[in-house]
Amino acid sequence: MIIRIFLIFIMLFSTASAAELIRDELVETTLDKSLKPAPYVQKVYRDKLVEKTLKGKDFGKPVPNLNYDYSDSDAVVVRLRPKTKISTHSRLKDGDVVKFVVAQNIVYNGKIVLKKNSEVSAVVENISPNDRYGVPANLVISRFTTEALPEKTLDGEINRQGKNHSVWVYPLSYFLMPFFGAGIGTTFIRGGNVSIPPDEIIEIYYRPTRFRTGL
Amino acid sequence: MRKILSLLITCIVLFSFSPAFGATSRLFTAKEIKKNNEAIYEVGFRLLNANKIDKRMTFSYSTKDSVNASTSLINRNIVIYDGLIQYMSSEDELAAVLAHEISHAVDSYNGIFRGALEFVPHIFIPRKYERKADLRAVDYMVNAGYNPVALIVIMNKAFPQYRYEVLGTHPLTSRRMAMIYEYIYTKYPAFLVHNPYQNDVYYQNFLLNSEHNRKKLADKVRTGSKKKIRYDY
Repeated sequence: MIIRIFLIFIMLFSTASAAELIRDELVETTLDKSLKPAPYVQKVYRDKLVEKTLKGKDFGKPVPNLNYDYSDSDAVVVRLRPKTKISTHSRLKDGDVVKFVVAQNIVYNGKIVLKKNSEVSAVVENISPNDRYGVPANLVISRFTTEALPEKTLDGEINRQGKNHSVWVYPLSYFLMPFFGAGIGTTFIRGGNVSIPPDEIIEIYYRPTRFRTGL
Repeated sequence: MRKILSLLITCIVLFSFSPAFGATSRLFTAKEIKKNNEAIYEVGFRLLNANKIDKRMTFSYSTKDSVNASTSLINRNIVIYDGLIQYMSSEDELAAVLAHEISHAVDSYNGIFRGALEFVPHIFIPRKYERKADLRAVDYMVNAGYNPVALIVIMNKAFPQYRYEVLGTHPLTSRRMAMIYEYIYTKYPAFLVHNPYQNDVYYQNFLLNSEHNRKKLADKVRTGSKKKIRYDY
């Protein structure tokens, strides 16, 4: 008996709630029932810049340096001088090639492997200019190569930073602030540039036995 | 007054130890932590070795849900938070974030007193160092056999877009991505010609939202200009 009452109650309740459905008469009377939303088609954006300017050209994929073996420490120091002054103040930019010359004959196993004045090229990997607040410029040069060697590559990197004036600009600006905000003036002090003059000697390495890649 | 003060202090102490105030939002199994740690070590040290970076640094994984990675300029420990790991879908993307952080750690060796004062310029002009780290990250990735386009993909996926960069520590993400794109275009074009991310939904979105910036680059390429592009918001 209780179950029957319960079932009747459920039936009544369900019909009551069904009766509350509101129909959209406007849609039913005015719109075509065969209308269906168009299926989603994913739009593919094409890189037209790459397609126009790079496609079809052979760049050759860069070779990663994964076959390294650092157990061999056989290395000969190569001393270089820049051909011209290298400076972050000039119009140098990322990817530029800079030239060096070998400062003295490089001898390995009693033989001259790299003659004095041989030309060595390197790539400017990163250059970031000096900035306000005494923030220095940074310069990274690597990928040293020379035609004078059968292996062509030399090992080393130049990672220089200009004079870091921010270490004194910061306290000075605080010190001067009570004097009518004079510390603000110090924020316009720029950091040092990186400069490598032609007479400066730079040391990189010739590694005769180590496997080398394009790095 | 003293009672209120002591109650306040007690509340602060209690809440600071409660899980509700911690940054971790879910529980991690030791296995999960170990797995993430190992992935980070492997990719991190591969980047160091392949790039012949002879400066020491370490890598670690944090279970905090912050969408971030950071480098300590004091002890050169690079931390990747779980919040950022959750966005990553390939080893290339992990390498992208680590390569960026490695650049900061390498910078921390520059300067006097073994780089002890290197943090000062980072405070003043942080965006300069972020730009540098983005571009160095591309080089590091290529040398270690990773696809640098993944750096754009992870940025577009996980890094928010602020309105102005004046007070920010990082350049606007849209500018960062455009700059990285230009760098890859000029230095490693092969990765854009044979781009496995071409149909990736996140890279597709980058192509959509960077259209005006890529147009600026197209103009630069067409005219052969050497001028630095000021990318849009």
